[in-house]
This record gives sequence, structure tokens and C-alpha cells, in this order.
Amino acid sequence: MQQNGDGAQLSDQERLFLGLAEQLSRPLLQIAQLAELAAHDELAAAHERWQTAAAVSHASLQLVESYALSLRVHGKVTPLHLEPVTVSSLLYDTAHHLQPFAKQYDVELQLEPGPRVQPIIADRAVLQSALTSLGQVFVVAQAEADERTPVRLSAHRGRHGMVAGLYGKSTLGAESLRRAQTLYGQARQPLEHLVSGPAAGVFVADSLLRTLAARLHVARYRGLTGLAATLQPSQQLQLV
Amino acid sequence: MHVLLIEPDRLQATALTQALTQAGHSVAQAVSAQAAVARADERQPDVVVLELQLPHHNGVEFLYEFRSYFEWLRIPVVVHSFVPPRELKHAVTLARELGVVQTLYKPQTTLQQLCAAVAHAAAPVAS
Amino acid sequence: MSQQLVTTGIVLRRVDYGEADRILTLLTPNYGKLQLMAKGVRRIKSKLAGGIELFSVTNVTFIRGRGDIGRLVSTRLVTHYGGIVQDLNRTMLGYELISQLNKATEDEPETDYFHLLEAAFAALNDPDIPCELIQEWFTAQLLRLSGHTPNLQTAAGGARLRADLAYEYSFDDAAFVARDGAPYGADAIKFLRLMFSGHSPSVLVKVAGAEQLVAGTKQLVSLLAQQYSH
Repeated sequence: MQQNGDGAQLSDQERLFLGLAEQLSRPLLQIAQLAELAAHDELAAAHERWQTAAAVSHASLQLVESYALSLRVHGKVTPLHLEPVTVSSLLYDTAHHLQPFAKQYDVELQLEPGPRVQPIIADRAVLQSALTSLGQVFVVAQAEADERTPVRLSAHRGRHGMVAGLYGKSTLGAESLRRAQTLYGQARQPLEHLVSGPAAGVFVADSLLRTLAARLHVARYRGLTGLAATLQPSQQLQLV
Repeated sequence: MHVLLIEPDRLQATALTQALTQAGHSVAQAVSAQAAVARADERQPDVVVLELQLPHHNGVEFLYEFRSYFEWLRIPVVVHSFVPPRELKHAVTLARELGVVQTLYKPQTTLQQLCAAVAHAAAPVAS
Repeated sequence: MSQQLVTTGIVLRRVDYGEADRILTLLTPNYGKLQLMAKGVRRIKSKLAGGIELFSVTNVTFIRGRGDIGRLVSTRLVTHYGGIVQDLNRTMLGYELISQLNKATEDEPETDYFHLLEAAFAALNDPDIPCELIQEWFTAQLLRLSGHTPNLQTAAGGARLRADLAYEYSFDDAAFVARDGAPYGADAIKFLRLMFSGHSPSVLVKVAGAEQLVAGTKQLVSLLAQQYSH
């Protein structure tokens, strides 16, 4: 339970839901505005608008699903399904899911799947959801930054395990992330150094990663700053 | 009229620009407070449409900076934001000191209503 | 050669001056209020980033001018209270406090005002300290620094305030007067004593029932400030 200075008492899940609700008002508004404009469009322009509406809708649905999954796993409604997962294939799939959304924002995705390493043991759907939710935030953040730096999906060997995450050009620091983890669901822009708005995808991702005993942390790799999770390679598979 | 649109979300900015253009205005887009000052410097706007939630420096900071320039003191500002008006505890200050002529809550404002607000904001006051 | 001086400062105001210059008004601990011309600071580059940001403590190097306005040579950011701008209401309160202090310090302000504003930024930067508490505390400090601390020890007539009585504040007597059903009990008066003795908001927020105590005393503090603002 987090109690903020203005008297609110909300559970972590309630705060997450508040942030999610605020986040979802954005794509729903985008869709409503697209429909308003499409009413006056020529056919070709209308087709483009519907493509945008579709991409935005799918991204939002994915975010809702990710949140629902985190609730179910935390609440032990759905058990974790642990299996060997290759991080590189995970990143490929994440990039594939993000591509239509990134295209609408005119943001390039770059993939650095990392070295061949032993797989990790994880729930693939949980990890996938976490990275995709995180990816949506980074796409919007890069577009807001108005620079041509791509969003990089990257994995590399770190000191404590496999570091998999998303990177872009930002000034996000560890203290900002810690502060944001206190403020999400309560401050309207808990990660304003990264992106405007509630950045719900970050906290949904964090909630999902916690089911795998991992947390999001600020990471720096090859000149870019991002958010990543450190995942442990499977000891059992190492011996195989 | 020339409108300075301060909107961080690219898709939003595209839709709003198209609506304002269709209503007969020229539009300069800015994704942040810093960019907005630069755009205003390039071409003085007749009206500013402002999202308060911006990356790095919020819309209130922008307004205080904007109003520190003598030639920009009287340019009307329409706030068009995800922040609900009821949460702005200093809404009176926004109006009185920072020249916000109208505050629109995005989820409850159509593009048509926004265009009407912009037209109204820039209309000369009847003597 | 003009001597370069160095001081910490907090920017109170930035005003456009001509095509390329700005005049900054800074509150400093040692030089009071300084007005410095930042020359050739072009609009497009300077505004909202770097050593002259609002809600910051900055080290400035400057040269005194012949008149009231000196010349800014360089700046270095010391502390930026970046958490304030994460919340729109805190941002606005921050600007209001700066404005209140600017008005309250028309004459040469003492070091205490610099530390007051610095403490206010630190409090605004802490999301666990409510805005209402910060606002009331700041008003109380302005009253205290201008020598207008209210009488929180004795009632009108001189008797010590008692914990078992309820009081209302009489502006005519400039003291509390006991009355059944009056709004200020022992807890409220103790809270006011803490506030007017200069304790920081981070201490005040830990008082049991702080939120209710702020709600119950803020009007009195505001009325006291209005009384002495003329």
C-alpha cells in the first residue's frame, strides 16, 4: 500500500489500474479523432486513417492484456508457465509486435539480439508482454523527443545475467525510475524525463517482471539509455 | 490565423493539425516547451493550443516562460489537455496571470469544439 | 578590470530585454536580490535548460554594473528540484511562492529568505509533503521573517493558553480568546507553534493528523498574512 502526501491510499494494483486507465484515454481519443476526420476524407486518406486506428487499437488491447495477465499471475489465477526461452527470439517477436505501432509514429526499431547464450527459464508470454508494453512507451518517447534515434531492442551479457531491454536517447536515471515507482498512478507524469503522460507500459512491464523475480532497472548500453531486466540463464540447461 | 500547437504525441498532433488546417488556419507544431519557444520565435502565433503534460518541462513552465516576452504577453492560449480541469487547483491563476482563455479536457472535446474554441479565442473583443 | 564575483542564487524572474538579452532577478544569500543582464542569450537556445532554470540553485559568476544591473558571466547548476515539474499543481505553487517572496522582499532581503525559498523547493520536490502544508508553512515563514509571528503563548489578557480550552483568534486583541466551541484546540495551537518556530515541512508532515491540522489552521494563517500585507 502506498500512501502519498495528499492522503490517497491505494494498493499497488489500484495505482497500476489508474495509470492504465489514464493511458488508455490516449488511444481511444486518437481513434475518436481519426473517425471524426475520416468522415470528411477522400477514400485513400480514409484508408490511411483506419490503418492508424487499427494500429493504435491493437497496441491498446495489448496493453490491457498485459495488465490483465499481470493481475492473473500475481493473484495466482493463472500459474506461471516456465520453459526455456531464447532471448534473441523473444526480441525478434517483440519487434514484430511493435512494428505497426512504431510505423505510425515514424520511429525505427533496431534489433540487437546479442550473443548466443544458453536459454533462460521464464514464462514466455509474461516476458513478451513486458517487453512489448515497454516498447510502446519507448516508441512514443522517441517520437516526442523529435529525434531520429531508433528504439533499440537489445540483449547483452551483464555481470549478473542476461540484460534484455529497450534503449533510446533519454536522460533517464536510476533516481528518476525509483521516484517514478513511488509516483505511478498518482502523478500524471511519473517518468517525465522519458515520456509525457502516465507511461503505464513501464509499470505494467515492471509488474509482469516481478512475477519472474526480476525488476526493471535503468541500463546503459552502447551510448543509449534504456530500461531493461536482468534474467538468469538456466543452470540446468548449462549442464546439458 | 496562425496557430502554435504544442502537443507531444505525434498522432494527436497530426489529427489536430489536420482539423485546424481544414478550418482554415496555418499550424506550427511543437512537441515540447523548448521547441514551442523556438516555433513562436520563427513566426509569432495568433493563438496557442497547449497540452499541459509535456516531456521535460510542463505546460505551466512554458506559459511562465512565454509570458516573460513582452511581445507575447497578449497572445491567447487555449489549454487542450488530458489533465481534468477539476484537478487544476490554480485554474484561476492560469486564467488571470497566464492568459489562458479556455481550458478543454481532451477526452470530452471533439475536434470541431477545439476549432470553435480557437476561433473564439482569437476573435477581437467587441468594444 | 572589473572584479568577478561568485555567489549561489535562485532565479526569481527572467525578463526579455531587447533582441538578444535577458535580465535575471536572483535571490542570493550574500548579495540580496541581484539583477543581472545575460547578454546575447538568444531565445532559441537559452530558455528552459541549463544553469538559469527556475526551481534551481545556481552558482553564478557576475560583474557588478555601474547602475542596478550587473552582468552575468557564467552559471553552473548546483541543485535542480526537477521533481516539482512532475506535478502541475506543484509547479504552479512553486511559481506562486516565488512571486510571494519576490513581493515580500522589495527591500534588501536577508540570508534567511534565500534559505526559505530553498527549503520550499526541497519540500515541493518531495511528493510526500502535501501542497497545502507547504503553502501554509511558507506563509507562516514570511510572517515570521517580517517580525509578525502571532502570539501563540498567551490569551488576550495575558493568561497562558490552556490545553483544555478551545480558542478563537481575535484580530483586535492580536491573541487567542477562549470560547466554547471555538475552532482552535491544543493540537491546532501546538501545530501553529511548530510551524512558526521555523520547523521544516518535512518535520510538520510527521505530526499526527497533520492533514487535518493544516485544513483547520490555514485560513487563520492566510488572514494573518493579509493583515500584514499592506
